[in-house]
Amino acid sequence: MFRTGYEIFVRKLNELEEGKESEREVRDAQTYERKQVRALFSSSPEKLPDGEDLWVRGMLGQLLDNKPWKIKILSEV
Amino acid sequence: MAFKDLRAYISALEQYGELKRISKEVDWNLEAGAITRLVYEKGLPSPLFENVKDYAGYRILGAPISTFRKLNIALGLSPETSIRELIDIYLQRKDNLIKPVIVDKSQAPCKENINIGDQVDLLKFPAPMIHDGDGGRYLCTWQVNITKDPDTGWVNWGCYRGMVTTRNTLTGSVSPAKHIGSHFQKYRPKKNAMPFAIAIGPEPVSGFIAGARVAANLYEAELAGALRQEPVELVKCETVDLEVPATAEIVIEGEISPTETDWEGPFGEFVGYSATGRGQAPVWKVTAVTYRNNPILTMSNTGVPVDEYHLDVGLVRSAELYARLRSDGIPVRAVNAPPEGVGFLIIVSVSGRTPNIAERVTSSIWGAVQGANAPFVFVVDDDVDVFDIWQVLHAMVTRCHPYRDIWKVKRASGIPFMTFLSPYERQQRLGAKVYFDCTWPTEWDPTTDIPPKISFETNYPKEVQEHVLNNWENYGFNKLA
Repeated sequence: MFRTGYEIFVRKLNELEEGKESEREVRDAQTYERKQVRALFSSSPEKLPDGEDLWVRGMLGQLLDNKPWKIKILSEV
Repeated sequence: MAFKDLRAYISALEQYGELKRISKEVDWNLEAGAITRLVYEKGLPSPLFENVKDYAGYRILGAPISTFRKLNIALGLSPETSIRELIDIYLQRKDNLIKPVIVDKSQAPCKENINIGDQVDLLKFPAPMIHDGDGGRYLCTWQVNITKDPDTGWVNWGCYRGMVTTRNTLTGSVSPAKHIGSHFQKYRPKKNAMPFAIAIGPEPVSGFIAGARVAANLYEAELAGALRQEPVELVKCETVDLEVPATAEIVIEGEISPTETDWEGPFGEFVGYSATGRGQAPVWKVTAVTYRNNPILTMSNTGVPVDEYHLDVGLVRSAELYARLRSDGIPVRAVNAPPEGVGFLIIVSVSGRTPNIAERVTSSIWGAVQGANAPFVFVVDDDVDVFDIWQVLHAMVTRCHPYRDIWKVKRASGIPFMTFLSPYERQQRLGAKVYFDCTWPTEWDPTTDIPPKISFETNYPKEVQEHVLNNWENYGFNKLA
């Protein structure tokens, strides 16, 4: 019924550097539990085939991209 | 007779057809919020969610006071009481403040379950994800927040949103512009934590009045007593030196950290937008939670009008500004802060033909606590019903000169919720204001310059009006409301 995967808040979409490992706070899209993670991000499912859905939100809560990005969590911090 | 608790009020709503019990399982994740939002937008009965997914034994009441009809019920009045009558009743009752009474813990339903220290677990309550895109799950959207001025002892009741962050912490904005913020400013510089209590699901008048903008140093518990015409029953908290409504469904006690912050927001707000964004806010550390058996969490889903905030504005701001204008010697006929104006719009009608009356009215309003953040003021003649927006609109387009009668103030105080301001202005709280003088110019000769109004009431002789009204159904029309 609702979204799955993770959500992230960013000021601008280009804050997320694709293909580069970085540390960010994300939240579970179903429980809203927050996690600090090291992860890889991609706007293209092909570039991160084993990634999970990542919904990217602006600081006002709006979806900045109607399609989910992908996130591969490497470790929890 | 006042309602002793939220449950008695819920029963009354049900009797009047203003409650919908929902036994079907409803998800706390957006579903309860979406249903409640539609209830506001369609003016429907309040939903009582009795089967919340993942939270057996807990219930949520959405849209607790979302229409004037429900507000009338909460105040023990006929549901059909008009807003004009309601304003008069508010002003009559508020003159007789009634002090609250303290009851013993054994008489306080909110003490049926007591969790202190490590026993505290906010995650056991079905805090809903109200709007898509909110910063988190909001447990506090319609409640009484209680804090005390450490210097004067003045206790303030307010209604400030609170987002659950862990099993024993919340975050919530403590804006210096709010009364809670004025208290916090006396703790934070000294690095002292500020004690707080939050009473979720109190009897309805306490919940209503906590959200109203009233003068500083007024104890809202006494105002709630005045409006319900019976004292509010309070009980002492377990871990902080504060008292809370004894029949509240859930009570959260703790301290607001002077130093620690965490993410809070965004949140769909009363202006009808998610307007203020995600930011750092003080951490509210919870030291105790007490609650009734099978507690009912109250949820206000703020957004486009009309919701609880707008009704607070509609009644309290209209009434308080009416009293203010009257005491300033202005020939005021009526004041309406229409709920649809989200607190930003005040409409005033005045009697007689006093030169520059619109300027006097507006100065008085902008100098009052209830009008300071109202950037739009309309002043109309007393033949215009301020509670009929169509009449006001008609007056504006026919009596307000587009160049001479619109008076703009370029620099004024603003608030971040004013979405018409630029991002910079919102951040710096730089606003602007305007008033529309929709009265006929006093220098115009009423016999030659002011055109006669053409309406049923103003144009036709009384005898013709009576004849037509008496024969209305004979013409084949339905009876007029």
